[in-house]
Order: sequence, then C-alpha cells, then structure tokens
Amino acid sequence: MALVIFVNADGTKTEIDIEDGISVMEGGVRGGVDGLDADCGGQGACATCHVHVGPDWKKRLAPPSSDEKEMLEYAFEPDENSRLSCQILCNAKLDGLVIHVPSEQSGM
Amino acid sequence: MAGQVDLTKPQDGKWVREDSERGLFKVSRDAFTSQAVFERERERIFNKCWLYLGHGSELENPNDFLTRNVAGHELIFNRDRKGVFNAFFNTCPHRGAMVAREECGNALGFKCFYHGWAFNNNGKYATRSPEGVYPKDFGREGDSVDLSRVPRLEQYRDFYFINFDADAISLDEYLAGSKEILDIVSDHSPDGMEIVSGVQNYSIKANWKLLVENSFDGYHAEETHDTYFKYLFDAIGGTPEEAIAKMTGESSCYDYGNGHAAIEGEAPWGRPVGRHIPAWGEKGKEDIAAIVEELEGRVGKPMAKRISNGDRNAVFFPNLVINDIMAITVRALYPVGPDEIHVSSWAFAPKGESPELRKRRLDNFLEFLGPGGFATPDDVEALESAQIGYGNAQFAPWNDISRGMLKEKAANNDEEQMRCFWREWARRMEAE
Repeated sequence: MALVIFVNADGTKTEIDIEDGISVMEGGVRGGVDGLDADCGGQGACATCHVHVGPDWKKRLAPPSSDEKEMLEYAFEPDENSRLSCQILCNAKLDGLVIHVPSEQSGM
Repeated sequence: MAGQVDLTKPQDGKWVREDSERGLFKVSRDAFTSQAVFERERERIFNKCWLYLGHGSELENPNDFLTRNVAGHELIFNRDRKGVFNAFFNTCPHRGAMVAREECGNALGFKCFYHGWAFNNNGKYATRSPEGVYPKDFGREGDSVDLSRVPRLEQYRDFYFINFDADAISLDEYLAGSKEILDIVSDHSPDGMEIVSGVQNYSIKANWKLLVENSFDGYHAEETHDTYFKYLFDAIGGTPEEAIAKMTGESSCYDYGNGHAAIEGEAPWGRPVGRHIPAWGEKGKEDIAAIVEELEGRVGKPMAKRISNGDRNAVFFPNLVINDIMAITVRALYPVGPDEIHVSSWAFAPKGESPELRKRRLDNFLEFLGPGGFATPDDVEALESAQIGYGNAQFAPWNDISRGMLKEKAANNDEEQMRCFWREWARRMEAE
C-alpha cells in the first residue's frame, strides 16, 4: 500500500491509498482524479495518462521501459520528469509519492 | 392458420396447423430437424427479436464486464467508467481476435492480444502508432476502429436484452404483458434481486424448441419426474394426493402477447419466498411467515399470495425462460444447430439473503434443476429421445399440441402456453 498524492495543474490535491501492484493511473482513475484520461485503460497504448514526478521521486522509481519512452513522445509537452502513470506500479516504498497531473492530455 | 387441419400435406412452408373448431393444433416435426428451418430461424427470429443478455446485478460496479455468447455472437456486456451499460461485439476491429478473453472481471479498457490494439471500456479506439503508419484522422471518417456496438441494448427491471435489428420495436413494447413476470420475480424482496454468482452451462442434443416447450410444460412433470416427487414426498411427508387436496392456488395460463406466455399454479415443494415445508422446521416456518408478512405490506395481499404461493414457468419469446418454482431460475437457450442446444442457467435470489435462507433456496434449486438435479437429466433424456424419434418424421410427421384447446380457460397442465409460442413462431417463419 502506498499513499499517493495527486496534484492537478490548478493545485487541487487528492490523496489516495493504492494497493501493491496497482498502477498509479488505475488508483487515480478509480479514485476520481481529474486529468488522467487513460483512454486505453492501462495497456500502455495511448499516452493519455501522462504525469510528471518530482526529481527526487524520479530516482526512486524503476526507470521507464523503451516502450514507455516511445509512447511518451505522443504526450502533451513531455519533459525529463514525464512518466506514463499506468507504468508505475505501487508498493510500500512509494508511500508519499507526489504526482503532478498536467493541464491536458494529448487527444487521441 | 385457422381452419381445418390438413395433415395430408406435411410441409410446403407451413409448419403449424391449427383447427380451432375441432381443437387441434399440430406442429410439423420438420421444424425440429431441418437445417433450412434452423437458418431461417437465425434470420427471422434470432436476428429480429429481443434476446436476453444479462442482469444488471452481474455488473455491480463501474468497469465490471462479462463475456457471453448470445445466439452465436461473442459479446462483451460491461459498464464503462461512468457506469453506463454497454454491449459490444467481442472482436477486434483490426483483424478479428476477441479483445476480452475472460468470463468476467473489472477493467478500464480492453487490449487485443494479437497485435495489441487497445480500447477504452466505452469502446473507443485508444492506440497510438508512429506518425505515417496510419492516416492522421484514422478511424474518424466513417472508418471507425472503435469496438462495434450491438445495435440495441435496453432493460426492464434490470433485465438487459439486446437486439441485432437496429429498427426493432422498443423492448418495452416487445415484452408486452410478460413484464408482469419480471415485475413479480423482481418484487420477491424489498432489498432487490440478484443473479447468484456461478452458472450452469450444459448442452442437449435436441432442437431448442423442445426445451422451450419443456420449460413450461406442466403436463409432463408427474410422469417424467417421478424420482423427484418420490424424493420430495419422502422429505416433506404425506402423499401427492394429500398435497393436491390442500392446494388452494388457481391453475392458469397467461398469454402475454408477442409469443410470451406463462403457466401458474401451486406445487407441493417448498418456496423460499413463502411456502413452508416441514423439512425446514419451526425456524423455517417463522422465517417464511416473516417474508409473507413483509410481502403483504409491500405489494398487497392478492399479489403477495401469487408471489408466495404461486409457482410459475414463463417463456419470453424466443429463448428466455424464467421459472419461479422451488427457486428462481433464469435460463437462456441457444440453438447451435437443428439438433443441439447450449443452455445457460442462473439462480436469481434476494440481495442480502441470510446464509440460512440462501442455503434452503440453493438446495431447492440444485435438487431439481441443472445437470446434477433430479429433473433436468430426466428432461434431457426426454428431449433427446424426441429428437431421435423425429428420425421417423417421414412416416410420423406431426407433433400434437392440442391439449386443453377446447377449454374456455386453459390450466397449467394444458398446452395453450406452447400454442402461444408456436403461433408467434409461425407468424415470423411462415410469412412470405
């Protein structure tokens, strides 16, 4: 279990407990976080669950796969802290993870 | 169809012969064996009628889904993230593989395992490809690559039906009077009703219409299910004659229109919603009394009596059976050929029923219904025997469905309910 803090572009904060093995995207979508379109529902096929993680957290996450990196090229204004939230699986080590949700996802 | 029954010319595009004056009703055995009839049924009945898909209680939460084959079509029945109910064809718009391969689950989207095309659970295509691989507006200009939606999905009292014909009349109009049965079984409990998890799936080597007839055939029970009734009277005490003498329920047949019909009466077994049997003990007696009291307060005495003490078998044209007997079974039957049926049967029960009451209900269900029950194997034997018997159709070409036809009011052991089905079947099949 990890408490994940979602911060939307307008500053809205949502804290959600997410069970081990469940992705940040799934926890966020099921928890009603706005801004995670996640069109494909977690298949890593659409790049619409794009988020930014702070530099501190970035180091503590398993690095993105080459598929994720490729998919991130479709995201809306990606930067070096960009991730697809469907590819970050929660565990106790991620307790307190801060996720910044961008103002928009690139439409399909 | 009315008029004299001419049995000298067996088929010529008419399978049903009715002579209302003499009270004769005959059905050609060709209707049970012919490949041409089977294909005509696909086109004129299963592609045109409302077909049962599932019950809302099977998809309790947003994102729940289940997969089901309905009349030869692999389907996904699901709720999307907003909780909206959908019915999709379970086939990838790309090259056809099934995008959902589990029986049920909870998923935000579906992904085809073949090439990885992904879809939102609202059916929308959700797959990125490198620039230049597909046109920029791929799937947007009348070349949709979303999951295909079943043309119509409508519900009554949480019973969801589909129609493959976009121009079909509304479900409400189609169900006509048969909505009464859905009301009755939905009103068994103040807490709502649910499909009990788990399903009985089985096949029968017989024509599907044999099971339609059998599912609301009050005439065969005593003869075919002798083993069950011996077991039952061992368990509840007394004799069939004593039980019949005590019965106060009316024996009826209901013609609900559009081929839907039901029989209703009173049987000797216990009903978890209101008819106690000694085998349930004093505690059982109190439980039943409380259920009946609640029913009377909620639906009024006359309807409470029908719900608690009336046993009913209903067929919703063409292939849904709801039998509200010693338990409630929801049964859908699908022809896979002229001489083979796939059957799916579910138990339907009050939400939040106590474990003790649920056990009584499921014991009742399993004793009688399904491949491990006392009754279904008997019925399967009878149906398969009839199908084999139709091998003699050249020399013995007609079934007789005349029982009770001259009576002013048909009873639950007559065959008027089957004639309701056959008239609708003939109307659809025999039209030019």
